[in-house]
Amino acid sequence: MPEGQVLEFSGITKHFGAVRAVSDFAARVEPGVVTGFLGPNGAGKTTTLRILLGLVRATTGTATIGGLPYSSLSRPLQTVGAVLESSSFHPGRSAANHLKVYAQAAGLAPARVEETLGLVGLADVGGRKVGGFSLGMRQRLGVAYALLGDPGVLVLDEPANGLDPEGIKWMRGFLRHLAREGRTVFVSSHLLSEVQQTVDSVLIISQGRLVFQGALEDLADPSEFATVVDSPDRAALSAALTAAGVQFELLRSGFTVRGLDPARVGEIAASAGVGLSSLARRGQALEEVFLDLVSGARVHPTAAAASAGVGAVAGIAPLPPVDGADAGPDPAAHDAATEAEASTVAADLEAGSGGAPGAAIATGAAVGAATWAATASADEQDAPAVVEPADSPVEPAAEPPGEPFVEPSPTYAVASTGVIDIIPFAGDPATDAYADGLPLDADPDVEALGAIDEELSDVEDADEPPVVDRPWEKYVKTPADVEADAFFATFTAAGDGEGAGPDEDEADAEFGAEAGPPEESIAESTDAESEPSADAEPAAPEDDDTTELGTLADLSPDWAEDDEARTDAERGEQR
Amino acid sequence: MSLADATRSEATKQLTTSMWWILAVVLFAYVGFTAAVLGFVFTGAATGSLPGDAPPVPIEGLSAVLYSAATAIGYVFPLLIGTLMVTAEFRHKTLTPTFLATPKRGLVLWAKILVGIALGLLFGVVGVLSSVIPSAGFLAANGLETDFTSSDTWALFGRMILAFVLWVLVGIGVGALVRNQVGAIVGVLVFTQFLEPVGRTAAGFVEGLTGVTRFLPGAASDALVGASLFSTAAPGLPAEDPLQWWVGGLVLLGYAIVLVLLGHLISWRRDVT
Repeated sequence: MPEGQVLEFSGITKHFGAVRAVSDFAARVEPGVVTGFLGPNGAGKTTTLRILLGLVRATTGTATIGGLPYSSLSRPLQTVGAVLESSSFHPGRSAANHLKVYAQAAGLAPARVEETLGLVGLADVGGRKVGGFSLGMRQRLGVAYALLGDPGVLVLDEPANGLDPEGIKWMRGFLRHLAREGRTVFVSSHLLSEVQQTVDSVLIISQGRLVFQGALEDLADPSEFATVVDSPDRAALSAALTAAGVQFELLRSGFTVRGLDPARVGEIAASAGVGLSSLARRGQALEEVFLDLVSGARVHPTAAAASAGVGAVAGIAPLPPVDGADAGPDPAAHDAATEAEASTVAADLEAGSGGAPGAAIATGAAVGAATWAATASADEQDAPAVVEPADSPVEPAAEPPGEPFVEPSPTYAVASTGVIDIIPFAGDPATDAYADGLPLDADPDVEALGAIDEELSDVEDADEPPVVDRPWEKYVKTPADVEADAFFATFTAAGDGEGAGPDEDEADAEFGAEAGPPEESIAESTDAESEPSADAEPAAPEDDDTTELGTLADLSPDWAEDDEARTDAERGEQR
Repeated sequence: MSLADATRSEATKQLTTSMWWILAVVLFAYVGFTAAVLGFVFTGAATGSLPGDAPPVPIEGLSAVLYSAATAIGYVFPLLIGTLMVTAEFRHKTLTPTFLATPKRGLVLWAKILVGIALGLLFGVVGVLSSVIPSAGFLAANGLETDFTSSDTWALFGRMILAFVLWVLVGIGVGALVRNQVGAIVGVLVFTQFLEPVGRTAAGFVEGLTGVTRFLPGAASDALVGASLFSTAAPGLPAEDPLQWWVGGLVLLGYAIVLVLLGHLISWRRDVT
């Protein structure tokens, strides 16, 4: 068994002309664990990996593998295996010959070619030309190349790109298996959710700088959690909670109680005789933390040195970094989001009344606008200095279109901005104001839970009118969307079994015998999605890792925008 | 990771795609056809069997002129295969796995040179055969001397094969320098099929210019081989005063070395992204 090696980056800086791709990057990757290398597109991940592999020369700094730079390794393929891009093949060469070329270059036995082809499940197509391979098959061939020399270190750049759900599941189990054997596994991704279930520790890079280094558990603050509870009889539940003196917020998906664990909440409900439809503990959404780190809104001590620069670059206004969770939503942000929402509402109105197929497209367009505005507002919330009085006159613009569609229930209406999704429970006049699309009060704590609500509410919306229900489904999907859809499906599926002991065995099984047919994972994903809403039994409170369910809000940064757009659309439609 | 490993890998790389034999087949067909036409015309003119007032062609040295058609018109093929050996790596991004397996990039380039020499020998043999078979056929049919018993003829064949090898090396240099496959192919074709022939012919009209154009790679190649269609193609014009054959060989080798060296320094060591 090959030994895993420590990967060490020290003071890596790389300029491409005037562009600084990586700045003073220093990190250490340990053997025996899967280390995720996260960052948005263009953050410098690929450049950093290529510097490690000697393909790109760092402007300053060194990257070593077991203490040696790549070019000094005496047996490189036997030391490090790398999967860098899915297109490094001559289309006219067969898969087996492709591997043979590099097996010979590394002085490996010819038998290794067949072995590795078998490992990645390409044994049957080894004689076929790579030009006829699907993207997933090419990706597997890339993995086969990395495994040729049975290396102790594996470096993978976005390995799940182009893989189908089955392939992603396979890849995940495979990486864990390799790490358990004591190898160093270093895998980059721009999707937190993609690696969340696989990695033990993460490096997060943004704008070429390291913004976090440590275990995944350290990413979220364990003291920041909430219990989400819901009942078919919401009035009774709210009465019970109020009677118990518990502070709570009503989201579309249920009541969120902060700082009180599920056992206690369940107890309150039980003593009041209220039947529950769901009860779960939610940790801080990792995606939120991730995005905050990446945007510079949150600075983690592990990368404090890099903080000042990131804050300055990432924020829209050049302000000192502030903690995103504590920053009150900025009035200007509301402005933008409210306007955008108004347009969504208008579009939904058409779609609802006309019911014409074209209306969905109009909604899509509005959603696009909303996304833009919501993004802008999300960014601006970290910049409290933008001028605009809190009671700015936005009502007239936003008010009329939504009126007929307001959800009748006085206690249950959906809030307006892309980020904030919470309304006060009591039937005070403010409720109506919210329904009309007025700006929300600046509730400092609201944001942190917004994502949770989005996750849950998206699952719950299944019983709504078909046409307007999911306007984004009518929206013309880009290939990236389709791909991300596939990702999402598996993450939900795998979230079921992930995070606990049994999964280890599962991973082993996958490694040995190739995952089952794709239908299996699809079925699983459906299960996972329907569970929270369909189960009438109070769900057993899962441990801290409920976030690993990998629902919508766990999606990539690319998708976060879409998410906001979706919720906007839904909201519009509900009023 | 040694030169032997890298070379074996490089050989596999070339032989597992179709390019080498496609180019060899086209070389054989193209040169063979041209040599057949030339053989028919030249032997006919030499024996006076052609109708009309065909210019007389000297019988002396006719076999060498016909045999050397392989290098005179076929040298673009070894040049192309050498170029493609390198640009294909850029084109298909296989430089990444190649450099991962062999991080010492100079070693990769040396392996390409060694394999290039082998391919040059192969193409040289194919080229010689493709021009000699039809030419010798027409010579024999017209009762002319095929000169196979002369050691000069076999030395000519040897020099032709050497020219093929050198052209592959020039191609490797061009490929390393240009990187872009399409650009390299177009550039090679334009230079060898248009610019240089036109330049060499046009230089005949200008006093003293042939002293310069004889150092062009194609002219150097012709000098190395020692016989060329160019010396007979335009009989009315002052022909180039060709270099000594070994000087021609050195000039061609010089082109190869300079281009490979420049390619290595300027392009081969660049970041692979």
